[in-house]
Amino acid sequence: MLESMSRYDAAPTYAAGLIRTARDMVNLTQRQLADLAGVTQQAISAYETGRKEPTLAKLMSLLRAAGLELRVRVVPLDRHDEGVEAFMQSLPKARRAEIETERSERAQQARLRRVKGK
Amino acid sequence: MPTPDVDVVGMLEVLDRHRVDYVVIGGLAIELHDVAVPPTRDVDITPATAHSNLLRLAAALKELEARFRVPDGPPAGVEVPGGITPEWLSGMVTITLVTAAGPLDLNFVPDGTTGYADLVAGHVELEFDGRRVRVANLEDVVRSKEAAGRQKDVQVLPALRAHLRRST
Repeated sequence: MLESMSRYDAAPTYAAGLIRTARDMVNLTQRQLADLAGVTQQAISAYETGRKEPTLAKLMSLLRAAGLELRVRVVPLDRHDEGVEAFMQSLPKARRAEIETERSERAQQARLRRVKGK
Repeated sequence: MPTPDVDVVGMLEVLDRHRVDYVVIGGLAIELHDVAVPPTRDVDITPATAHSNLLRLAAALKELEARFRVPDGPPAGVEVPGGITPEWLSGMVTITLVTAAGPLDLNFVPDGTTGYADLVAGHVELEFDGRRVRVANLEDVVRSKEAAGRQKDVQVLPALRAHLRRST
């Protein structure tokens, strides 16, 4: 998961996405959040890069330290991506590869444009 | 049904030819805003709910040979009982379809929004393979992703927020 997501502008894990979003919302650096939460900056970095996964309790305490809270709700499982996956798998292998390459290249071009500031 | 394929431009061309009013949302909207998110394979749109638009949408979906996409069903989808009609469309909030041009999701009221009127008010026109497309603005996409809160939404939120910051 980590390797495949690293090619894109996406957080590697659910927790990483939550922590990065939280820091962004209250404009805190990793170091500042670490100080507030009483953990090391390395720990925050490990969570955000997906190298470590915080427990739910730890995640909640990190967010609380940032003046935020995690609200969780239980809802019916959204399976709509499974149908898309089944559809993709039904395509001839060569065509599937072609589509994946095309979309991946589009994402990479977007990333390149962003890096170049265009 | 002919052999299904993924032809996003072709799909949008059919919708436009039938003069369907819609706004592109979801992963494709994010791609069109130039954020390098993991590639999306389906097209998500929010159509206008006026009866006249649902008539045009039903006609477009007929041309696209749209069928229900169900998780444990056949990859080519299943026939909509009684066919796709404006009346049937008007009773729906979300519909997942497979078409001759690939998977298509109709989301009449995306999370965190009140639907087409809400999204079209701030839409932007972006180019996709030479075609001008009405796309939800990035603030609205973020608003919807934050409200949805699924894992895949949360994982792209930091990048979307960073992109917004850079562009304002």
